[in-house]
Amino acid sequence: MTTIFLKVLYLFLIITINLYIGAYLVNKISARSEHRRGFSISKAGWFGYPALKVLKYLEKSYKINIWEFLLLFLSFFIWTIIPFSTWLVLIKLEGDLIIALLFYMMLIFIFLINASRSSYETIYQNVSRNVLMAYSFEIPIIFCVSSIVLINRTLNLKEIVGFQYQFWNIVYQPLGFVVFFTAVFLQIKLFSLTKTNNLIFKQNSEKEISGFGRFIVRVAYYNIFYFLIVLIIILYLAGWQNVYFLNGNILFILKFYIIFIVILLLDKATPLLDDYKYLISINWKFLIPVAVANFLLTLVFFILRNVYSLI
Amino acid sequence: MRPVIRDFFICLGNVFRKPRAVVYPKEKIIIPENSRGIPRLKLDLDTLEIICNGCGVCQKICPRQCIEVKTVIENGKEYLDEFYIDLSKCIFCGNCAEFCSLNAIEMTYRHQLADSDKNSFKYEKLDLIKQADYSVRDFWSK
Repeated sequence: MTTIFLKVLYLFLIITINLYIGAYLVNKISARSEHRRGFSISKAGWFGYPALKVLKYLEKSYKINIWEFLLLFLSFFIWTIIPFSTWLVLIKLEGDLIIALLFYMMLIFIFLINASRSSYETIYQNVSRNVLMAYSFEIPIIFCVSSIVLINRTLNLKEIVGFQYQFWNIVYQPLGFVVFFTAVFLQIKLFSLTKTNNLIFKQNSEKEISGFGRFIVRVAYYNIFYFLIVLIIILYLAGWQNVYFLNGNILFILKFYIIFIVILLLDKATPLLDDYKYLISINWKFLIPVAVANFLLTLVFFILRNVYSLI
Repeated sequence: MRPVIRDFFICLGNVFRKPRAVVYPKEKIIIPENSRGIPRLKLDLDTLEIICNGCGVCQKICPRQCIEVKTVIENGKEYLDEFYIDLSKCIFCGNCAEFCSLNAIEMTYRHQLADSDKNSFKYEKLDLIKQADYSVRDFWSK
């Protein structure tokens, strides 16, 4: 009983501290890449600014509806099946990879439900487009995940990390990694973490977006962002595996923040990538064909190795 | 793909560069050379007297008409008595310095003039002489 309580406490601490650091990094790096300052103008300083922002949201409106509450709850609940180390996992399941992906899809769908309450047509239109695009980016991701499953022959995330004790999956699946990373990056770009939403300025919808509900939606976005990065690390970069004398848990944090910063900088480097037609063309002309080809190649190797024992 | 990679490294480089925006009261910047701040009256370094003879060209040429020159006649010769300039009107065009035949007026680098009192922008002869410190290009802090 106490171990579960400890685990929940650890998980909560890890997520909230990283949310705080992430909120700081998103604003600081996006400012610095544009030669701006970031937070230092504020009296709260770099440490107090994210907390100040929460208070700002609360000041405007403190009311939330049931869907926003569900969004907050489920976005934290997604971490229960994701392992952070051999010890730190709350619910042990056989096929937790599939459940995590389904959970993620459900979370995105709640964004759509939440947006459908809006009295502004454009908000619903924009969010539904984003959700549709996020679902279409799931197709290459599913192909990449199936390739990983074929190599490791398991659906358990912990076992997938365990199989990478000798070589990381990125060595076997370089194409898959590129496709997975691009799909994840484009999904994160759809949620526009670093960019201010144009809708706020175009429409008179400040009242609807600016309250505490907006803060919850943003926390959910951050949770999705983190979930996708952790999925990349577990599937391709060997999670918490030790490398020689280096501690695996420290490496996990390092990998997380390296990918986090790379995605942020890529987000800044591609400011005009918001056009839906362009995103669709990237998906259909690059991501899906490469993912399918990668999957077929893996399948051929799998059959040759396991059915005919040729390799 | 190539422009994306190029822009990525530009963004990465910018992260480690010093930001261009400054926090105004705390930080200082060096203003560009030949920028025009408020004008000052020059002194003759040998006699330590004002070079200006009160001819009034600056008063006539000033587009905003913020300069007022008063002269006094002593022994049949015209001398400068008072020299007023209203900096709340001044647009720092530099015409007064350019048209002065004796080069008695010079534009300094001082341009930080925020004040709550409007009358503090009306400078007299002595105030304008004191601006000599600002003729050297330096920080804003002065």
